[in-house]
Amino acid sequence: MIFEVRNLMKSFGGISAVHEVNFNLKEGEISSIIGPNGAGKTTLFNLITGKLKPDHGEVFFKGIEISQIKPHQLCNKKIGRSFQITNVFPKFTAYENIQVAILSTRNRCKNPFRRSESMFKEDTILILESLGMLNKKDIQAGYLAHGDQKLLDIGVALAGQPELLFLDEPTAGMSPQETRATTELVKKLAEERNLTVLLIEHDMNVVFSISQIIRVMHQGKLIAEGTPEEIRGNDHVQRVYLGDRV
Amino acid sequence: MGIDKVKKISYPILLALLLVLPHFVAEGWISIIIEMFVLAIAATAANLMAGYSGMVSFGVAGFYGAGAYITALLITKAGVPFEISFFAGPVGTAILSLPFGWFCVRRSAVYFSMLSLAFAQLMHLIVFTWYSFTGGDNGIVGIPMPALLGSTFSYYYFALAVMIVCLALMWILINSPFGKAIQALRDNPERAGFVGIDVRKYQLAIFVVGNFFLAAAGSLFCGFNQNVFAEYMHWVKTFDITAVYLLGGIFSFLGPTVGAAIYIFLNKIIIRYTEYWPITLGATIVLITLFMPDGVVGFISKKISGKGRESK
Repeated sequence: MIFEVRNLMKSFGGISAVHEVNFNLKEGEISSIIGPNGAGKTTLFNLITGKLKPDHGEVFFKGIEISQIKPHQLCNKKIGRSFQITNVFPKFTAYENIQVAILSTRNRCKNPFRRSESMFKEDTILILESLGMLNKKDIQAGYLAHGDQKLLDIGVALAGQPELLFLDEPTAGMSPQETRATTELVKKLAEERNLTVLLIEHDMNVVFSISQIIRVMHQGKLIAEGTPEEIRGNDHVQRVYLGDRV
Repeated sequence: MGIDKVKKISYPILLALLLVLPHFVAEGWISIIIEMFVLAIAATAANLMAGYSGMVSFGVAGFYGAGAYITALLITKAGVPFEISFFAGPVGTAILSLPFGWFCVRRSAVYFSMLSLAFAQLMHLIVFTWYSFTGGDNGIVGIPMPALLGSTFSYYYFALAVMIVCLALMWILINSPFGKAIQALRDNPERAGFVGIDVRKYQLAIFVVGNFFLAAAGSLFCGFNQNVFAEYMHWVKTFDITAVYLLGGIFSFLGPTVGAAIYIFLNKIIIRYTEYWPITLGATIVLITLFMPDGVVGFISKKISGKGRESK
């Protein structure tokens, strides 16, 4: 067990956004959290990645409590995340986006004298290559197409050589082709790097094709957990969420 | 012709020109150019914060003045020679700006700006009212200088050397991994945190470094003018420096330097014909921000390269 969430709670102005959530992630497993809008998925994500502090409960990574630590410490513990709303460095080129993440996670950013341009060139190129974005490396990230920015966002998260990767709606706003390509990419990366991946996703095709385990959230609570087949067959889930969509 | 080629040719020519210039112009002009050098260092340092880290400090004059006062006080009160007190100015100011910065970087955007302004005004107030030590609004006048730097002519070369060293150091800094990190946190502080950059620590570091170079400019000016006054620390001076880097352009390294040259030049020319210099400056700044939002240098380099070049 690489990651553990225990009894996590958070409320905003008396409304409970996340209520007594418990789950574990096994090493190398790809799992998803689904749920209707307002189910508390993003709040849960923000709680487990340190952006929000929980009112109650604990989050463990490899047995160490991490719910109180800052984002940069999380990254140094080999946990990466991508964002629902694309979150790259818009004025940097695609190359620089990956490079600055590598520089930072290899603890080289304290150096004020060495020229950074060619540092970690190979590693940077390697990540761009695995994203299929090598031909766009000199384009400013702010000018990249939406789908490419989402990919780059994943690439930036990968630069820290994470063992655990959180993806917040990685295919949101992508075309069907881009979605398929991204799904394959995440699968491939997880396999190659033995990554544990947890994603929030709206696209049911993505969720059911990629996940080994699916967790369903509803009104801040985790109401079901299981393999895609089990979730498909779960009456409760059918009623509150999936309705006629599956 | 590409912009890099233009740079490669123009820098050595410019340097050669600056080296021979004092032999051909009147002393009044040498003084004006020394002022340009000082302002170029100050504006580039301020732009390390504003342009490269996205932290618009409204306290730049406070730290510029702190450098000047530390140098002046060490010479006049402790008899420390200029050669040492000149370095003590920036070093002392860097240490001084650590606690101020610790508070300032806890807030972002306009709150950061206002906090930095408050600290600078606080320093101004202390200097302005502490007659027995700082001379209050009389300032400190007649600061003795070493014979070697006593003439405007020789001080010109000293100032040129200091400017080149300061600009070179700042250039190296922004092209280093550290420089990349501060530009990353300017563009997206949240993301910067999630790639492992300790945002506040880096903001504090660049605040201290920026103020170090601002103080170097202050100390340089103290040696040139041989007087220091409380108004060096006043917010009006902050807005002079701010106007300079906006004028030149915040997304190009030499923008503030070019801004300094234009600013001093305009000031000295316009003031001969009219006493309404601030109005002229105000109008110029309005026009620049409306029609050249990347400043004069940003505007020109876009024209030369034919496309946008950002944050280099």
